[in-house]
Amino acid sequence: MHSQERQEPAIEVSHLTANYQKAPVLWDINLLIPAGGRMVAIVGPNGAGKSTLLKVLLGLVSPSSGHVRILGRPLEEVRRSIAYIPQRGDVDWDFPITSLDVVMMGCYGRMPLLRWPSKRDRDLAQRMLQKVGMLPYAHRQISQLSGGQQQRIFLARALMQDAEIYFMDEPFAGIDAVTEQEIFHLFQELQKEKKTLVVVHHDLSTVERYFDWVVVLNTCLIASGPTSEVFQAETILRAYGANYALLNEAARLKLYQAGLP
Amino acid sequence: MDLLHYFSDPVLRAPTIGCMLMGFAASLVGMLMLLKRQALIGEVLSHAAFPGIVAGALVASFFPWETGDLSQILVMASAALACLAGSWAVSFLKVRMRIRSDSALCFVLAVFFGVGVLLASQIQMTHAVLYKQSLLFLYGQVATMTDAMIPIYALLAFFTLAIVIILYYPLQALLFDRQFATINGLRTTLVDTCVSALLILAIVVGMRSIGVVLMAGMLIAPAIAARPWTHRLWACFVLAAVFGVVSSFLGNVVSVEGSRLLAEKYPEWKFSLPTGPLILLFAAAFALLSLFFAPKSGILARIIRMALFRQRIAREHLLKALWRKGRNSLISQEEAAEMLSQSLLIRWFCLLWLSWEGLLTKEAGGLYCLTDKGWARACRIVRLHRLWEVYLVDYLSQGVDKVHRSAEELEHVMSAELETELEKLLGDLRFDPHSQPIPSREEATWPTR
Amino acid sequence: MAHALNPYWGKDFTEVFAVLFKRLWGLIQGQMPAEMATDEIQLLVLLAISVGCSLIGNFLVLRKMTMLANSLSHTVLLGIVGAQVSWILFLRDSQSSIGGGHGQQFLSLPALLFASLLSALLTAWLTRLITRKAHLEEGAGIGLVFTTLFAVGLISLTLFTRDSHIGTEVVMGNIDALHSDDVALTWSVAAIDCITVFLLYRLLKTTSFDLSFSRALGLPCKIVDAIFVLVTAATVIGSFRAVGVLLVLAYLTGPALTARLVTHRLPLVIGASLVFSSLSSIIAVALSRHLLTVYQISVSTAGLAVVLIAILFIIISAATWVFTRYRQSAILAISSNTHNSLPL
Repeated sequence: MHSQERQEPAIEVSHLTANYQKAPVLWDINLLIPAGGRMVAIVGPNGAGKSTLLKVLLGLVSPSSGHVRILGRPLEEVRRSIAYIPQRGDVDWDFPITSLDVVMMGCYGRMPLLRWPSKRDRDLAQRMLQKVGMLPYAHRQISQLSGGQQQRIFLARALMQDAEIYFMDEPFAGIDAVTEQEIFHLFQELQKEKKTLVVVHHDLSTVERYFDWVVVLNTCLIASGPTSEVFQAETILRAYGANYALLNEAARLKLYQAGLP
Repeated sequence: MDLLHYFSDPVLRAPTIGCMLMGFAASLVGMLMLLKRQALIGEVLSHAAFPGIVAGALVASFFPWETGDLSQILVMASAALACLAGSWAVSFLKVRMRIRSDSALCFVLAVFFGVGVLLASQIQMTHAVLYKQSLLFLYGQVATMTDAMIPIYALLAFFTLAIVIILYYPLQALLFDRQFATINGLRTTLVDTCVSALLILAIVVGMRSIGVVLMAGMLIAPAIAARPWTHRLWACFVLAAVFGVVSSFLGNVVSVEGSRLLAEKYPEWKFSLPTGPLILLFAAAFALLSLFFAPKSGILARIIRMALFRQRIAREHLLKALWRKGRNSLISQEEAAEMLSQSLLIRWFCLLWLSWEGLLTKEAGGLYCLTDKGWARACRIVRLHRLWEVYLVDYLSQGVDKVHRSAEELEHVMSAELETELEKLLGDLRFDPHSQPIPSREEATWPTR
Repeated sequence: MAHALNPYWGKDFTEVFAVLFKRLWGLIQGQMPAEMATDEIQLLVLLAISVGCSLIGNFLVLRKMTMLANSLSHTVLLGIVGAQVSWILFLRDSQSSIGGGHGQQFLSLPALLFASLLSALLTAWLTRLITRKAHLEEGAGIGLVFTTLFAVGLISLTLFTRDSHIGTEVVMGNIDALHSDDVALTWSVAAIDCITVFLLYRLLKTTSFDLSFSRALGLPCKIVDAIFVLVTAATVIGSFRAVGVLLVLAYLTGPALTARLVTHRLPLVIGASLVFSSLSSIIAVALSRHLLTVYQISVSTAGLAVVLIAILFIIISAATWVFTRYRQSAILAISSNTHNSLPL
């Protein structure tokens, strides 16, 4: 217990506000996720800012105010320790690339510019493919794979990175139940290795089964804590039924006054 | 410089009016394409017209027509066909071959233009006159436009206007919310086809004046110039047409006068300023000026708004600080400095503005005091702050210790409607989440009743 | 064209290749020809453009940046003018001057690189500025910037060269006025393209495929993008004398789109587009000579090359379509056969 408390929190967010066009997507978020092998679900209604929160944590979107600390340090210092699986819709599926090539991208972050991937990298990539059960499809072009298979490839790529924190945006969306189970088993293995997984999750019915920490979000932070404490009917009702009309209007006015058209 | 003679002089008349008709048609259609978020398809189709122009010139040469004007009509018709083919090619590549929009557009543009280059080079040796004539359509050449063509251009331009007017409401529905329009029975494909036809018409009207390469600019610039000034659709069209016509006129004038000046100063050069690019430059200048100077959405307006907002925040902070000190408290300039922590100039400006607004009075000894009006205003700000805190805690489940910061930001952005809504939602409250009293509505209103 | 001295004069399609191989053979054996024939110059220049554009064009298509190439192809005009003006003003290098009328335009490599830097900066920076500050839709912002800069470039160039026809040459090229210095120039640009793509291959592939992953990984996405835009500008400027700034867009997009129909592995796609592009260039040179000799029709080799690229695209798409349908019906036939032969 003591060693855990002395550890830096996995993620620390203070006073984070982010806007998209004229509406606030995240408003004054204050969040602390402790380290040490947690499986974190970020839940909330559509448009709640869940993906945006993930993107801000990864430095892909700049917030209007507030700051983020990963493993106690700014993002740039710890990039080697994080892995990201984006939403499936963000990817160009017609790209001429095979499954093996995608997985090998996982080691590009560590490689110096001019070096080509070595045999060892290739072997590691094949092992990762094996782990997710996709080795027979190593030379398939990615659009020829099903949704579940594509997700497994991306998971293999993330595993290649051997990170401390894994960020995933709706990894279970649109995939079959069998793949979901298998992916979840892989998550559990990661959790045993004391890795932190932060997952934007869309299915409230499976939260309690899979995750031990929940962040409930709807523009503002509704709740954050262990699932058993936080994941109650009342909290969910508050998230999904909150009255944001006034906040949105005020934020819009503020953006107008601050110089947007 | 007598501008009216541009309309009376037989040499200058046709080019001037021809250009203005081009500006008119192009800007109307360009506004449509801008709102449809398809600003660049005009460029592709106008380049695609080039092989049609060359082919038309070639075909026309076979007919023993006496006037060049009939062959002009054939060229225009053939150009329209080429545009149509280009449009079809883009759709085919995008829909049937699932090629991305940008690659499809670029490829069709280059290939069609290449076909035009091929055809043009073929007639370069055999029909040198036709070759030169075809090239005129690249950048336009109005100087040799004749009066006879004007009625034709006028008819086509009028036709463009007529279609826009007739289809005004369907267009409005389509541009605003396509899905909704389709569900409600609008024949969207038909309207789309009409829009494509309008685009082709505009290109055909304008290709003699500004040429196919620069046409894209006239489709975009006047529309961009018009957009920031108004939110009403009909006004957008009217303004765009005005900008289009005026830039065409000015471009024409400058090219004529400029060429004259150059001929006087450097007679050995023997060339004239090209009209097309000059028209485009005027249109672009209008666009940039509009983007900068338009009220509300212009860049300058936004900068000013931002500065004024920051100023107001500073002033309101001062009012709040005075409120906290008490009803009849006094502050000196130095104390204001501590509260505001702003530069000397801003502090002085704040105090001056507040005095001018009647919120502060200067007492003896250089100290400032809140007036009744000032007290009411300060009460209002504090009231809003605390009402926001209640809203954030009760309705958005924020922690009590976290809402102060948000409320600090939001208290400055109130509008009367927002305030009324907030009050309606929260009711008549006495205390905020920190158990501090909320100033009542009466306290926050001035003049007191 | 010095007819009497041109060894390709009067040759038809196959004879062109015969002469070419004979001269190549002579070259290998050590006999240097007196000078390069115009056909050979055209061939070498078009091949250089093919190589450079295939490499760059594939990534343009993959990154959906072809509109940027379109935009650059217009703004390079201003870049060229700017480079010429600065060069003459600051270096008084009379060798690299565009001027004195038709047929004497020539750009040295350093001037070209400077011009491409100028154009790339103007385009990218101005477009970003206008789109962001004025909150315009991206297409509109790009369109406004490049058409305006093109108009400015055109007026400046016309005034500078005092040549009213310069505008035509810029968009159509003047492939018949090429000489051996152009060969060196275009191959230098092709070499730059090769080196860039080779060195940055992995980065280009990753950032084109999945930009958010690349950024999360900490890859230098912005730097890669900047270098790529610069090299694209250089490629476009390098081709403007031969094929003109608009036709180079066909070289950039056509072979890349064709190659993607044939294979799904990126190295093979690039290789295939190299093959298709070079084939179009070679056939264009031979065919234009053939048409001149046999039919007395003179055509622009550049236009012909672009048309051939398009024809190749059509042929390959038709072939893949037929092939896919054939395979589909074959599969259906096999599965219906097995269905019939299954025991109940």
